[in-house]
Amino acid sequence: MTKVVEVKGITRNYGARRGVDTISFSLVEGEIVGLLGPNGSGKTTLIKLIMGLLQPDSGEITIRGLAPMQAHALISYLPENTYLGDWMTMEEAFRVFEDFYADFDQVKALSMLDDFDLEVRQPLKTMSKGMQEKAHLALVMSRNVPLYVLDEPMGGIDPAARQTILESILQNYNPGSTLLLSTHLISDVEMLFDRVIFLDQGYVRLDRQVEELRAETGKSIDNIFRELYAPGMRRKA
Amino acid sequence: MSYEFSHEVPIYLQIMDIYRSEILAGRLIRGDQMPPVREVALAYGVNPNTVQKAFLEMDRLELTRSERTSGRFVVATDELIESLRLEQSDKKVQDFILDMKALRISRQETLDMVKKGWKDD
Repeated sequence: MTKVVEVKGITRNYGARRGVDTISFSLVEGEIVGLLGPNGSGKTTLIKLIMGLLQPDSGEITIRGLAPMQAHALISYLPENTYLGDWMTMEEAFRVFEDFYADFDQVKALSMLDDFDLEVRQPLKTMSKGMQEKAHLALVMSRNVPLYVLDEPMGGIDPAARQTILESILQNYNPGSTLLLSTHLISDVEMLFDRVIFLDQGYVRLDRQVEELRAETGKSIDNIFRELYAPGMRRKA
Repeated sequence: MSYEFSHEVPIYLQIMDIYRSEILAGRLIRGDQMPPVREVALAYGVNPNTVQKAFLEMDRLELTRSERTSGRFVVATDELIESLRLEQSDKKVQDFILDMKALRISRQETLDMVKKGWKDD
């Protein structure tokens, strides 16, 4: 299978604090991968490295053979914090995306806004944090790219609406595209994953196919996660 | 969504179960077209690759077959369906007998209870 992302022995520290440490894995075409771990385990650092927003201390990342900085046209990215201007309406945000990305599909974006009960003319600053996140997700999922990277797409969204978000991601991602999704809300999304990568204090703790894990352990991914990160089970820093 | 999957069991096995039951119950019959993978994935809120795996497994068991251009169809023969029904009912009976034994109910008592409890509809 074609590799979309290759992460080779990547390390990045913040001064004396560890960000991520000698992490290696690759993501192949068509895979939906969960990047899981408690806060501070390195999820966002790793994602920023993949996006070329942080430079590694050592190691190498390639996106379809390109350096992250050269690969922006191949990746649609939902950052942890939305970067859309407060003053914008969704219509204006659409225009920004159209100007920046030739692959932006406005029809898709409109239908997603509709699914989320959002109004195109509403200024973002009058929206709740959850609504802003949904609006941003609609934009990000409406690009046609080989790789989607979603950093905590359900962070600010109430439990009742999470199912809508999930269905919308499933409906709108390109089959054949790769999806990397970081979250700490595992039970809500575990049905979505082909594979999970568990991070712990900057290390890869586990990297497995979810169906194999279920078959071997008779446990849900959520349970495996809870056991792995239970007090006393954590890897010593 | 009307179906709750158990997160403790591989999802593809549970999807297989759904469609195998439909076939065994005669609600999906030979020649019927299976729904597209993507549609099933969306309906149940699961990964499309998982649905694909379930359907490939059903192909392998000769319950369904995928035609390159026209889609996937139910191809289970009557013999296959009959043998799967017997296999499944045998398993259920064995489980039931174990449960009854655990409750220390005798063979004769069990048979009487089944006769009494069995209502034709």
